[in-house]
Amino acid sequence: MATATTSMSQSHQKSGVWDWLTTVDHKKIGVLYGVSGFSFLLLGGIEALLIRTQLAVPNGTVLDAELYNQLFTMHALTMIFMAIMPMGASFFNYFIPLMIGARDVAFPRLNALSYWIFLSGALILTSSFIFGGAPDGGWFAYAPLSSEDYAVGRAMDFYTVGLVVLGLSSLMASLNFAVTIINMRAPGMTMMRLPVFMWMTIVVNFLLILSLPVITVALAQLYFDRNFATNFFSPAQGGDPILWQHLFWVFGHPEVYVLILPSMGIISEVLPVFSRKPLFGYAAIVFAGVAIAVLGFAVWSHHMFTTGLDTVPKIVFSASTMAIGVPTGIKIFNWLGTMYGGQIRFTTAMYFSVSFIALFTIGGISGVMHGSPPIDTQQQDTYFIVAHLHYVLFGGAIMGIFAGIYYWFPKMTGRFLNETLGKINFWLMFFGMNLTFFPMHFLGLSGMPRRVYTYDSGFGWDAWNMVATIGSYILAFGILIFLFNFFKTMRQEPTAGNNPWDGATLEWATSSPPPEHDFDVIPEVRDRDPLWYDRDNNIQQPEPPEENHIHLPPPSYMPLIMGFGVALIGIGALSHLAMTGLGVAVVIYSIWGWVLEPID
Amino acid sequence: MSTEAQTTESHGSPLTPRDYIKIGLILTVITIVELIASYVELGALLIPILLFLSLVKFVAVVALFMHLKYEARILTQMFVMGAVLATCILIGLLYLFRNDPTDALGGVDPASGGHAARIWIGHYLHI
Amino acid sequence: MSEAVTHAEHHTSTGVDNRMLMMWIFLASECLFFGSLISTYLIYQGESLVGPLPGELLNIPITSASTFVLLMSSVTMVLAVYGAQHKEFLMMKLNLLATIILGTIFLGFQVVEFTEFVHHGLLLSTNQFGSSFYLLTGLHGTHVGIGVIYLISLLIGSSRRNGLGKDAGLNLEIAGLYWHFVDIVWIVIFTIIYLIPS
Ligand code: HEM
Ligand SMILES: [Cu+2]
Repeated sequence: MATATTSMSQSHQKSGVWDWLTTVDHKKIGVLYGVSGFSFLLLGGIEALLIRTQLAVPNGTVLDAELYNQLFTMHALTMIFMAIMPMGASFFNYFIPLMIGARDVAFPRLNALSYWIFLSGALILTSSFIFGGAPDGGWFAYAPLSSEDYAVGRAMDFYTVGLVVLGLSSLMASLNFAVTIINMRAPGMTMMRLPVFMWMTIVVNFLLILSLPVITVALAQLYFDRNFATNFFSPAQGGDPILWQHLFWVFGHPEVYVLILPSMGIISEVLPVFSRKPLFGYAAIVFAGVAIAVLGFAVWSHHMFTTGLDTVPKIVFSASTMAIGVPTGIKIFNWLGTMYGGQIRFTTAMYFSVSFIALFTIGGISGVMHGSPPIDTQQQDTYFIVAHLHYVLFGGAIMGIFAGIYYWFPKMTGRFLNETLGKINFWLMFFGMNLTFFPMHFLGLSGMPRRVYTYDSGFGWDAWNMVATIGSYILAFGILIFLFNFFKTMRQEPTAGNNPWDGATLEWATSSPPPEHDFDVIPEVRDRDPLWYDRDNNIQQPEPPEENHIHLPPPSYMPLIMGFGVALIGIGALSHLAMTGLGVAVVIYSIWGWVLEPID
Repeated sequence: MSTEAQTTESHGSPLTPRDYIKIGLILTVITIVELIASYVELGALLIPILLFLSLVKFVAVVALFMHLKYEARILTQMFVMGAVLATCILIGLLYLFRNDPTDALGGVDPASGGHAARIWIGHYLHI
Repeated sequence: MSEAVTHAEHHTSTGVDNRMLMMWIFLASECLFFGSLISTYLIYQGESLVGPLPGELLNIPITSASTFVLLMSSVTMVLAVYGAQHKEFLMMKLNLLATIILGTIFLGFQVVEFTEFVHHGLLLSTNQFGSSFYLLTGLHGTHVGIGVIYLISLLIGSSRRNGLGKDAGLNLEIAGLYWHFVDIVWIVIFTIIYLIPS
């Protein structure tokens, strides 16, 4: 039985290792996701620097072809599945209950389980480097490069197993978050009063819920092809490599929106606060987010224009792809409209948010360009695509995540990240990123293919490659500044107070960092910007009662054990059946313990 | 998705065990009809008839056995979202494979089979 | 626990129980899972380069019997849910037991069918039919198997001293959702694989 009373909860800061391992508190799980995600961001960054170092000059000799292939594949997998997605999940975890006015997510133990399974999957996939080589067929692992003929050894099995485990984690987390937002809102928090970040969260989670099963099936088929001699993707026996591409991109395109929508949500919170103006066109921005998700399921073949699609599908997928530009454009105008006429405060979070708009727009425009099949025929598999995807993923997703970090850091720790260092951090990242990725447009248009480990001089690519490599080091330096800022800040006294930025949403109504039970009294919501409304109308939230017993779920080590069991099953799929059996036993034991464990 | 009204949880459905058994019987009869249909020469009508009958069974189980008919609307919205999307993607994929010039790879002779999608969709949509 | 506690914890914004809502969303996800498998099956229909082909193997009368068994298990399942919700616990337990038995019989049919096919030379790797058929029906069978275990644990739970507690109705209802879903997937599979001639 765990109860927290208002008075004790502040002083009662648990932080031993055991508390972290058994925690079911959404804030701690959020921190776990955040720290793990950021660590993988650094790992993926190192992989990227190696790639850029190799490509700095023609006929580079830093890496050989084999290692290069592993690095660009793992760079993408790391960044997508182990850095950006968990950092998104970190914000979801931490802020869903706080922003909708709840005490925790709907299923706290399931939430912990999602994290442990995520960690297992990430470690399995990353460990491939030491067990005979990492996957090297690109993050989309096209057949036949993924078949047992061309991908000898275990690498590709690490890919299938790792991604299935990571997908399981995401599916559980998404179900949990979706139920939480639909079902656990504070009184008065109607759907159309949800913060935009919450709307984008729910859209992301439904995208995952509906697209993960498709990739799971495709991965199962690939695993069977490699291990049980089926022929789903090998033409020699009547299979069709194109099926893999279809299934992959039915998942893959919704997935790219999974990566960008959290950041769109974050800047939709940051921009109004630092413009001191409510968001311009709330309904439009929500509608656009939902429209992007729906259309996102109808565009997958734009990744396959050059596979010999027939004319009608080409036209349809081209049209739907370009149609996505419309809701995207709506959002951009909403953000601009929010700033227009506002009293803008130029904080670091605001810098990152504004740069998001600019950089994302560049990526969106190049996206619409290769949404046209004839143009795409030129651009497919060149550095132009690499430029596109990094403008949306780095300029978009990562810049948005940094905006979120600078914005919410005071809430999560009670401390302000240093603004001067923050701006240095921003400018280095901003210049570094443009220096790295803008030249790739030129490289792509002049024909440099992506995924080649080296190139000859004399194609006119040398200078731009050098520029890109220099840019990547500047960018990395910017991230180091962030780390420095982080450690420096953590040594200071918490001075932030409940609502340092004068934010409008519920998370700013509680203390910084929030108590374990989030809110002393569940707030009552009367407006889309509840804190501003209460401030302007002089409404006080009710005082907590003298005896404020709040029921919190007790910590549990069952999620950890079950996560371990899932890891064993995964390892078994890569080594020996006995290991899988052991894993199943552990999972069954932990389900048993889970069900019988008292939760109140 | 904005069902704000505090729809009180309808506890169960008004159906009685008797109703459930009746529904079960009807479903069995439909299955038998399907079975017979698949043996009778119905030509081009066969597939639509079979699909329609199994749709009826599908909807009956979801609405009555799973009580979706008597539950809050949000649950129907959630499930229909998944079922409809899955159907659309299925149709989309079958259509794409019908129009897949790379199909020649397998060396398949359309007369002896070819892609099912080619036969089905081609037949009914005349594309 | 004092009075000031937890009113937020028992009411949900939509009035629907959290677990119930999660199960339905999960089933939406499962639609895509089986949708992908069925797509694969249909795309590879007629793509086998060597036999045996479906027409030579599929035994429609026997599968109709197993389809009937699964259908009946849905009826007993819904009766078990009815029993739990109306506190007729004997009815609940008997029907739960019947559902478990019928589910197991269905799995038995599947084992027999697979063995039969293997005897006739259809392995997972033989041709496109083998690969896509075994993967689809095998994963469906896995779902049935998990369902059987799920129901068995409910049956064991319900024979403890205080049964499944005050949530018995809800617990069974949620398990029932899963069970019926597996049944409707079979309705689709039966039509698409067995009844529609390839
Ligand atoms: C206006 C919106 C967008 C449009 C029209 C668009 C269009 C496209 C098209 C047509 C391709 C395929 C290019 C090719 O391989 O030939 C592509 C690739 C890609 N897009 Fe986008 N895109 C858009 C937004 C985004 C966003 C928001 C993200 C992620 C956050 C994203 C991430 C990617 C990635 C990662 C690839 C490369 C996949 C690969 O081949 O490895 N795109 N985009
Ligand atoms: Cu795409």
